[in-house]
Amino acid sequence: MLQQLVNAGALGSIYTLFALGLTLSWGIVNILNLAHGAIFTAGTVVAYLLTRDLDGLPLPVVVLAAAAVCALISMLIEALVFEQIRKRSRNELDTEMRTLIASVAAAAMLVTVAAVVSHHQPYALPGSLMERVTWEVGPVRITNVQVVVLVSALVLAAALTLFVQRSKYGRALRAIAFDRTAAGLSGVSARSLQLAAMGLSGALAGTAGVLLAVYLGAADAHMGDAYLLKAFAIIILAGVGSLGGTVAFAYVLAVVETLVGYWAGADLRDAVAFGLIIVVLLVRPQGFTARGGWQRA
Amino acid sequence: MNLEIWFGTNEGYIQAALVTTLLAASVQVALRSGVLSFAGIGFYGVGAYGAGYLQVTRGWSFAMAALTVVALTLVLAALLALLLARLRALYLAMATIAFVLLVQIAALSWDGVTGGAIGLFGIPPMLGTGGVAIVVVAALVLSALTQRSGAGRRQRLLREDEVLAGALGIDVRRHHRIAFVHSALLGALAGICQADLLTVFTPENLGFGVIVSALTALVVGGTWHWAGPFLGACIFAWMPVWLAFAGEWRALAEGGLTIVVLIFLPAGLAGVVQLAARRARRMRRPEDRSAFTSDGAANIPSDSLEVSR
Amino acid sequence: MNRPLGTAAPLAALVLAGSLLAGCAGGSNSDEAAGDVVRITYIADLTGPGAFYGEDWAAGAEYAVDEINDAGGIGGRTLEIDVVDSASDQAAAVGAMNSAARSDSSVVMYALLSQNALAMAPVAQREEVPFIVGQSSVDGVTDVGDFVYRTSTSEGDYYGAMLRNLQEQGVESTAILYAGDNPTAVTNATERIPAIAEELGIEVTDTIEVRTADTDYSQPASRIVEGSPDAVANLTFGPAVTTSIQALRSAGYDGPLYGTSALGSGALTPAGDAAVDTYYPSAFIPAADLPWASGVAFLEEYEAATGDQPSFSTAGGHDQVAFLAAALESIGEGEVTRNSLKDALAVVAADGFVGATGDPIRFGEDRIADTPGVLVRWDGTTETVAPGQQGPLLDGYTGNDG
Repeated sequence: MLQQLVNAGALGSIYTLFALGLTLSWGIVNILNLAHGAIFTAGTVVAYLLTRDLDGLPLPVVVLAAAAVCALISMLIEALVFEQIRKRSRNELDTEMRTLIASVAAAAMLVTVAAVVSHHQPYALPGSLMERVTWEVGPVRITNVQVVVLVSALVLAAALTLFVQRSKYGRALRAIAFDRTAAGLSGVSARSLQLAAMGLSGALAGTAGVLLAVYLGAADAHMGDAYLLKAFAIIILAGVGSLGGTVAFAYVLAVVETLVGYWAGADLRDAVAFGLIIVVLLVRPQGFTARGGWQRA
Repeated sequence: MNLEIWFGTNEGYIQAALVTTLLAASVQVALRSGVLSFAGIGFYGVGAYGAGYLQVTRGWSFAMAALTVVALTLVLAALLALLLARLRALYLAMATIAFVLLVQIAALSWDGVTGGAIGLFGIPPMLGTGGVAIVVVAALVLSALTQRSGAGRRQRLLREDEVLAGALGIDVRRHHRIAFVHSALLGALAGICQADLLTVFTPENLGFGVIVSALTALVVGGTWHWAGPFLGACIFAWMPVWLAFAGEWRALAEGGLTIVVLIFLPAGLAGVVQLAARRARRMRRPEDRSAFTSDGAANIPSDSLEVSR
Repeated sequence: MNRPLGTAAPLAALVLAGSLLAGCAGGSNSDEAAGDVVRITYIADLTGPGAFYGEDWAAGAEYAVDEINDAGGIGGRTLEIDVVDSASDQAAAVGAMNSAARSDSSVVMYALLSQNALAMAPVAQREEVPFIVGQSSVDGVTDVGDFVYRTSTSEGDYYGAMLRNLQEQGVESTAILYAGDNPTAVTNATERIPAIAEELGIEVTDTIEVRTADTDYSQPASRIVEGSPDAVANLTFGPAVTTSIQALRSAGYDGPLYGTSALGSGALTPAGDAAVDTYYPSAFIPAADLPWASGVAFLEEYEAATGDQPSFSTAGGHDQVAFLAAALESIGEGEVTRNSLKDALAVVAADGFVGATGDPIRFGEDRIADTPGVLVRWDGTTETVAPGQQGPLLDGYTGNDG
C-alpha cells in the first residue's frame, strides 16, 4: 500500500513536469499545443543521441542540452507555424482550431524524425547516466531515480510559480495573457514574450522527457502521446493557467490511477480516470482553481 | 484513364474518404452552432459495434440493426446533450473526448458484445461503397441546404454571439441540443458504414486518433463550408499515396503539407474552390461585382475573403 | 445567382455519387492467366509503428524472389514482386489490397498487424485472389475462406512446451502481466497459460492487465513482487516490454521472464542486463544450432548473400514466397491463374513444403501453418536456443529431420 503511494508520487511528478509546460503555453499564448508530447519525445531523442556518441556525460548536462534543443524547437514552431496562422486570420475560434491542427501536424513531423532515428524501436539511455540505487525503508522500496524525479518536479514547479508571479517578465507574461496590447506598455513586445513563453514550455518538455526516460529505463518515439491526454485532463480540471492547481491535480490523478489500478485493474483504472473528468466538469465547469488573472477562457 | 479501372483500384481509398467525410461532418454540424463536441466520434464506435453485434451475434437483418442503432443513438445523444448542457467550448471538448475514450474502454472490456481486444469480424457487407456514397451525399446535401436556409443564419449567429442570439429570441439551448444530436447521428452513421465496408471493427479503430483525423480533415477541407469535410477527407485518403515517394519520411511530408495548407489557406480547400468560382464569375460579369461582394461577404466566413486580397 | 456554389453544388455531389455507384457495379475482375512472369503484390508496413518488423518481412520475401529467379525460375516462369507500403494503417492496407486485387498480380501477401489482416482477408476472398498472410495474431483471419492462408503458427501453441521447460528449471509459480488491448495477449493470459499451468501444477499468483500505451509499470510491478512468483509472463509489446522489465527489476524481482515473440531483440536490447534470462518462443532465430536443418541453411545463405542476419520476420517473409513457389512447382507447365494457384496452394498445404521456419511446413484444416518453433533464451546481447530443449516446441509436430 505504502509502496503504491511511492509509485504514485513518482508518476505524479512526471505528470507535473509534463503538464507545467503545457499549461504555460495554453495559459499565456493561448495555444493548445498538441506538439508538446512530441517535443517531450524530442528531448529523449537528444539525450539518446548525445549519450550514444559521447560517453560519460553527467545527467545535468544531458538535461540542459535536451532542454535547450527543445526550447529551440518549440520557438521555431511558434515563429514558423503558429504565428503565421495567427497573422492570417481574424476569427478567434478559427485561429484556435487551425493552431490545434497545426500542432498535431508538427507533432507528426517530430515523431517521424524520432521514429526514423530510433528505427521504430525503443531506446534506452545508458545506465551510467544515473546508477540506480534502491533503498529499502521498512516494507517500501525507493530508488534514487524516483527521488530525483520528485524533487525536480517540485523544484521546477515552485521556481516557475515564483517566476510568473514575482519577476518582471512573469508579470509581463501575465499581462499579455490578460490583454495582448497591454504588454507593449511595459517595454517588452508581446511577440517576443510569446516566443519566450513557448521556449520555456519547450524546455520544460525536454527536461521532463529526459527524466522520464531515465526513470522508466527506456523511451520510444510515440511515448509522448500517452501523456498528452493525461496532461490535458489535469489542466482542464485545474483550470487553464493555474500552476498550483496543475501540480495538485497531477498528483491527484496519479494517486487515483495507481490505487484504482492496484485494486481493480487497468480497465477500471482508465474508466475511473475519464469518468472522473466528466463528473468534475459537470460539478465545476470552469475547473477547480481557475481565477481571473492570466486565465483567458 | 478508364474511370472503371480507377474506381476499382482506388476503392479502398474511396471508402476511407467516405467514412472520414461523415466523421468530419459530424464535428462540423456541431461546430456550426458553436458546440465543440467530439461525442460523434464516440457514437461512431456505438454505431459500428451496435450494427456489427446485432448482425453477427444476433443474426438481425442489416435494416433492423441499422434502424435500432440509429434509434439508440438518438436517445443516448439526447440524454447526453441534457447532461452536458452546462459545458462550453474546450470544457465540452474535454468531456466529449473523455466520452470517446470511455466508449473505447467499453469496446475493450465488454467482450460479450464487442469481442474485446479481438473485435468483431465477419460483419456482412450490405451497403457496399455505393450505398455508403449515397449516405454521404444525403448527409452533405442536408448540410448544404441547412447552411443556406434560415437555420444556417441562426447557427452563425449562435456561434458568433450567443447573447445576441438569445436576445433575438433564438432558443440557444435547444439549438445546441439539436446540433449535438445531429452530430451524434452522423457519427453513428459513419460507424455503421465503416463496419459494413471493413467487415471488421476493433478497439484499434477507435480513440483519440479518430478525433484528430476527423478534425484535421474538417479544418484542412474548410471548417465552415458544407463541402469542407468531403474535400478534407479526400486529401487525407490519398495524401499517403501521393507522398509515397518520400518513403520513411512520408509522415514528415504529410505534416509539412498540412501546415502549409493551414497557414496559406485560412478557409481550407473549400475556400480555394469558392474563390476560383468567384473569379470565374467575376470575369464573366464584371458589372455584377458590387452586388456580389456585399452578399457574398455575408454568406461566407470573413476569413476566406482574405485570400483574395 | 449571387450565391457561390448555389444549388449546383449538391447536384454535383449527386452526380459524383452516381458515378461512384457506376464504378463499383462494373468492378469485377477478370482472372487472366499469368504469362512468363508471376506477379506478387507484397503489402508491408514499411513505415509507421510496424516498420521495424515490416521492413524485414518485405526483405525476406524479396530475397526469396531473387533466389528463385537466380535459379532460373519455376516451370519456365520468373517471379516479380511489387512491395507496397501500408504504413501500419488499416485504411491504407485495405486500399492496397483493393488495388492489388484489380491488378494483374496472381497473389497478395501481407504480414504483421492482425486488425489489418482481418480487414484485408474478406476483400481477398471476395475478389478471389490468393492471400498469404505471414503473421497475424488472430486465428480468425483464415475463416473467411479458401483463398486465405497463414504461414505462421499461433504462438499460444508453443506455450505448453515453454512452460514445461521452465518447470524443469524449478518454476512452481508464475505471475502474468499482459496487454489487455492485444488480442493474442488476452487469449494467452486469460485462457492458455492458466490452463497449461493448471495441468502442470504451476500456481498462478497474479494476472495483471495493463495497456500497451502505459509507460509507468511500477504499480503492477510492485504488485507482482508481493506474490513472489518464480517466473513472470510478460505479454506486452513495443516499448512496454522494455519499461515493464525495468520496472519489475526495480521492484526487486530477479527471476526468469517469459512471453511472446514480441520480446525479440529489438525490445530486449535497450533493457540491458535487466532482460537477461528472458524466454520466448519464436518461429526462427539466427542461431547456428537451430533444431532444424532448413533453418540453418537459410541463415547461412542469407548471411552470405546480404551480409545481414535474418530475423524471424525475414524468415517469415521468405516462407510466404516459398509457399507460393511450392504451389507453382505443383502447377508445373500448367496455366497459372488465381484459381489454379488457389487449388495448388491447397495441395501444398496438405503435403507440406520446406521453408526457413520448418521442414516440412504443413497446414491444418484451418489453413494455418504448423511450424516447429524454437524456445529462445535472451542472454543480454543475443538470442540463443534455450538449453534443455527436446524436439520441436509445437506439440505433435513431426519434422523430416528433427
